[in-house]
Order: sequence, then C-alpha cells, then structure tokens
Amino acid sequence: MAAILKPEVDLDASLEFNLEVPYQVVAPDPNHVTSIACPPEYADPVNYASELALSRSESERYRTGDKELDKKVEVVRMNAARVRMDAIQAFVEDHSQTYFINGGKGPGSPRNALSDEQLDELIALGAGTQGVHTVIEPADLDLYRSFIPAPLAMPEHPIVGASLLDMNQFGRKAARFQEGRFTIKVLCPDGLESWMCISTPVPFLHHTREGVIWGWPKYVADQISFTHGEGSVRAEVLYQGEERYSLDFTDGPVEDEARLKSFGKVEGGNTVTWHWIQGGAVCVRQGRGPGIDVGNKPARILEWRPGQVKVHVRQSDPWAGLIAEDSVTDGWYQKWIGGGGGDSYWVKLGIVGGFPA
Amino acid sequence: MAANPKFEEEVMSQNVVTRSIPEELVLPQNYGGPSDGSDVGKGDPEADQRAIQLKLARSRVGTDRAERFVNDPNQNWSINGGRGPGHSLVPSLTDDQLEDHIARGLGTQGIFTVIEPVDLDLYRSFLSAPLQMPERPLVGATLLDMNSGNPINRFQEGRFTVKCLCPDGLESWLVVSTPVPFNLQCREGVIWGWPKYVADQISFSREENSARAEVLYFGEERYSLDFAAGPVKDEAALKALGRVEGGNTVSWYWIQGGAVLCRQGRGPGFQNGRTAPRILDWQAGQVKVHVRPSDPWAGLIPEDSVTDGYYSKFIGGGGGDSVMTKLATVGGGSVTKVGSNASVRVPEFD
Repeated sequence: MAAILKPEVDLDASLEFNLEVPYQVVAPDPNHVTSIACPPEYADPVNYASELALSRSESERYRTGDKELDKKVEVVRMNAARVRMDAIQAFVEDHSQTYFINGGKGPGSPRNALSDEQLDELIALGAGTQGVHTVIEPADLDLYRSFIPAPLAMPEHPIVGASLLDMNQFGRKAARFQEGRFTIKVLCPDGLESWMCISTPVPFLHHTREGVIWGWPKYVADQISFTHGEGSVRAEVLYQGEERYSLDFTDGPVEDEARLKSFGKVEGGNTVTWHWIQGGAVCVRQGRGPGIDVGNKPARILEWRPGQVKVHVRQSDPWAGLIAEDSVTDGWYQKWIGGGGGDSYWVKLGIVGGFPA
Repeated sequence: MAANPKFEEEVMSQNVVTRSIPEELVLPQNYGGPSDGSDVGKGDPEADQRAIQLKLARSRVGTDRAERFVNDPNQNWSINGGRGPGHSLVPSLTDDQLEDHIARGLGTQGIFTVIEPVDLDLYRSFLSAPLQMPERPLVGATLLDMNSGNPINRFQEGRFTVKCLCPDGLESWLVVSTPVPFNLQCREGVIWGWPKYVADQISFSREENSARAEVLYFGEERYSLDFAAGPVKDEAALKALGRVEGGNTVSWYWIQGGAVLCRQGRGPGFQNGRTAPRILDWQAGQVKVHVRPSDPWAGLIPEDSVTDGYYSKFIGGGGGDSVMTKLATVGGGSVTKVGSNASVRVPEFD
C-alpha cells in the first residue's frame, strides 16, 4: 500500500499556472537547438512516470515557491500521461485485444483500495470531487440520432447528460482540474447502455491532449469556474470571452429524488469514446459496463443536494439543439470521494475503417 | 486532525477559477498578426507567459476551423482556413523583408532522406482504404527545426512518412510518426490526424559538413538522423524531392465514429500562388536513420539504414493560397443513415 499524500494544498488560491510543462529551449547559436520537455534526470519511466514518484513532502510543497520542485511535479505528471497514452494507443491499435484491464497490467493487479481511516483522513483534508449534474429529455431526436455513429445505436430511452466536475481527488493541487461533460445515452453493440461524450471543456492543454488521444472531444477553455452561493452552485466555461457552457444549480424540491440518485455520476464510470487510428476509429467503453461489479470500493457521498439546474450551451455549437435553450430540469449537486480498489476495465466495442484496401 | 489549521481552513473552500488565457487575449480580433518573437525571451516571465497564451489562443482558432471543415460533409476544400481563395493567411514578403528575415536567422533547417521499404506487407498495412500503394513505395525520414530565429514559434518536428496513392489519383505522403517537443503542437497534431507524441527532448545540431537531429523518449534515442556530407549517386533526383513530404501530406482527422482523410495542400503539380521558398543552404550526403526497434513502423527500413540524403535550410516567401482537400470519409455516419454499409468490425466478446 502506497502512502497517502497529504499535501499542504491551497485549493482556493489563484494560481499563475503553466499551460505546459516548464520547457527549456537551449539555443546557443542559430545552428544548434535543444528543446527539452523532460530533463534527463526525470526521463526514467520506472521512477518518474507515476505520481508515487513524489514524496509526501514534495507534494505538500508544490507551488509554494520552489521552482525546481514545481518542475519535477509537472514533469512527473506529463510522464505519467505519456506512459498511459502509449499503453492505450497500443491497446487500441492491437485488433487482437478486446479488453484493457488495469492499464494493460491485466486482471488481479487492482488499484489500491483505501482503508476507512485513510478515507476519513482525506475527507478531513477536503479531498474529493464535486459536481453539478442533470439529465434532460432530448428536444430533437433526429439530431440526437445524428450524433450516434454505427455500430452504436439509439438507447431505449434517449437522454442528454450535462455535468461539470471539479476534480481534486486526494487533494493534490497538481491533479485538480475541472471538466464539463455534455453526453448522450447510447446503446452499445454488446447490448449495454452507456454515455457518449459530445463536448468536454477543460482548462489545461495537458488534459486536452490526453482527451483527444482517447476520443473525448476536449477543448481548452479560457477559464472554468466553480462557485458556491447561498443555496446555489454555478459552474461556468468561458471560451473566447463567451459563456459557452454553464450549469446553474439552485436548491429546491424535485419530482423524483430516488430517480435522480439512481443516475449516480450520470456518465461517470460508463462512457464510450472513439479512439483515433490511421484510417478509422475504435469505439471503447471506459468501464466494464453498468451492473457489472469490478470490485471497486464504493464512492462515499459526502454531500448530495437536489434542486434545479439551468443548462446553457452556446447556440452555435452543433449539439446545442439537443436540449431546449437555457433548459431548466431537476438535477443535483454532490461531492464524493472514491474508495479506490477494484479493476479498471476498458472494453473495445467496434472498429470502423483502419484496414488496407 | 487539525495538525495544520491554516491548511485545513484553506482546503475547505470549494470555489475555484482556473484560467488558461486572460480575458484580453481570448478574442480573435485582439490577436494581431503573427508574432515575430521579438517580445519574448527578454527576461520578463510575464511577457513570455503572455506570448505563449496568445499562441494557444491563436491555435484554438485554427483547430476550431479544421474541426468545422472535417465535420461538414458538404465541404471538400478548406481554402485559407475558410476565408476563400485570394485571402492568404500568410502575407507575401517583399524582397527587402525576406532579406531582413534571412539576416535575422529566420528559416527552417532540416535533414532529409528517402528509403526503399524492406517489407512491403508492413508498408501496405499502414495504408488504410481508400489509400493505396503508390507506383513506387518509398519511406521518407526527415526532422525539421522550424522557424529558427523566432523563439515563440520555433519548434522541432520529426516526420516518418510513407508514400501513398490518394483516391484522386495523386501521390502524397502519409505521416506515420511525428515527435514534437511541446504539448501545444502535439494537441494540434492529434486533432488533425498527425500521430504526434511529446518527446523528452529534440535537438538539432548543424556543423560545417554534418548535422544531427535526435529525439529522446524516456531517456532512449527513439528517432535520429545523422547527416554527413559526401558524394551521392543522383543529386538531381534528391533535389527533385524538395522537402519530401513538406506541403503534400495526407492525414486522418478524428471525427465521432470515424476519420476523414485530408491532404494538406492542393496536391503535387498545382500552383497555389505561393512565392517559392528560397534555399539558403543545401548539402548532399549520407543520412543514417535510427528508429526505435519496438516502434511498429521500425521494420519499414533496415536497422540504422544509411541512404543518400541532404541537409537543407530554406525560408518561405509567404503569400499564395493554403488549400486543404478532403479525400474520403470513413464511418462517422449516424446509425440510421449508414446502416449495414458501414465499414464496421465488431470484436468477439467473452
């Protein structure tokens, strides 16, 4: 069991965050240049491609003025992403592989589960993920259908999901980021229903690169904010100075609280995406599928409040017509923390193109 | 708990604003023309950060345009980023401006070679339908140091390519692997179907009669080109290759449920009105190409192959039309429209 990091984080501080890893470009004269993203001392994938490479003390001191340490944390984060992307790409391109289990390590190499004491400690530190969520009946079924490429198909009950998450699992400042998710329910060829991501704003280039590689249509927003008011929560995405996506939650009674609770994290843990390959795309579900136990310790819900969610989507976005303009529906705010453990499953569902003539 | 009250007080806040680009830089009308880089690298970290944010803001405009184009089945050409013919994105330079740029060291240098493939089955496996084998299969290996003289735009890019026959009957180059040093170019690349990855580092060194370009990935030499000046069999044939793939590449753009094949460029043999690049340096010789043996494309060429090639430095004159041509769309249709005609394979499930 790896030690839990207990960072001395400052989660609500304004940060002048690098868009990138702090690059170094050495160009002593016009004929010589070296552009460095990962300095040689951190290029070892065994020791510097996992956040476990960072000691508790290092995580605590991130963004507290030690530039060399900040660089190490950011390079390790990039290395971890590169290792992850390489493994995913190899899986997607290998047509003999249907399942990608625990990042390629196979079954029986589950992630560490947290003990109750460890979870309590993290909760006291403020760790966890918060989100505003709602589900909406589609306003235009033909448009809905047009977003579902074969072999995905219409689900029994078409529905649009709108979420925005502030993810800071384990309270590590370098790991905190926000992500909007505008999704539609689909029927997969294995007969299970899942959610396909239509649009996914994020604040960092780092995540958008990962996203597009694994088929989440991510874009870098100007800024993403998550703000609590009196009986309300607002999550807002600005793009080129315009409010492109926002969720406004207000506490209030709902028609069917049990139904809302049954959605859990809506798409969270059960999404399908199309991964790029030369000449085609591979449809993959992140998650074994609904109703199948992979041994995860259940997430602990720290707060759950029902209410109404107003969803704004920029009207020029092709998916805007899926819901009524500035739709208001029953939804919820929640904060939870995952318990870890269990097997991480990715399932290949279909391959389109990608074969020689 | 409360071992550190300050810590506890701060982390309990749940409000957050994460800003990537400040308000004054987000609107296209505030961008101005391309930066010449003179405002960066002068010891002002804020100016440097601002320049990089501006570059990201510009990049988003370009990738948004490309995404709109590939997702619109009615569009076959994207000319000057959607502005149409005659509205060049890169203004033409006067001779005086060009001389000034050359004097300031601007331009692009590269090492280039082409290699006969050693495994035609492997070669064919990289050509997804409707691309086909060209008349004479050929592997291209280049590494460019682009925009030298402009610190904000300068970056290096390796290109390992295969020649292919496009459905419009023209031959082009398909990019198989593209190392870059920065996340920004990597994001752009994967959106427009160039299989880019972020290297640890990329270096380019030019000496009087040699040049070396090297890509490190997790401490290992993953791709390198070593150029040594010397006599070659057919200098005219090498010169005819120009920049090998440069200006005539095809790539598969990502769309939901499929991919769209586009050529960056109108195609070989077409005039786009651009001022021809001025060659500042050209030297023939031998190029040793190293590809990490575990890469799936390594078997296309002999291990540590040595072939005739060249070092070249050139500068573009700007102007002319930038043309992107849509060649094919695979998948991506909604299930009701595509039906059983979709080129879909479904794996076996346990």
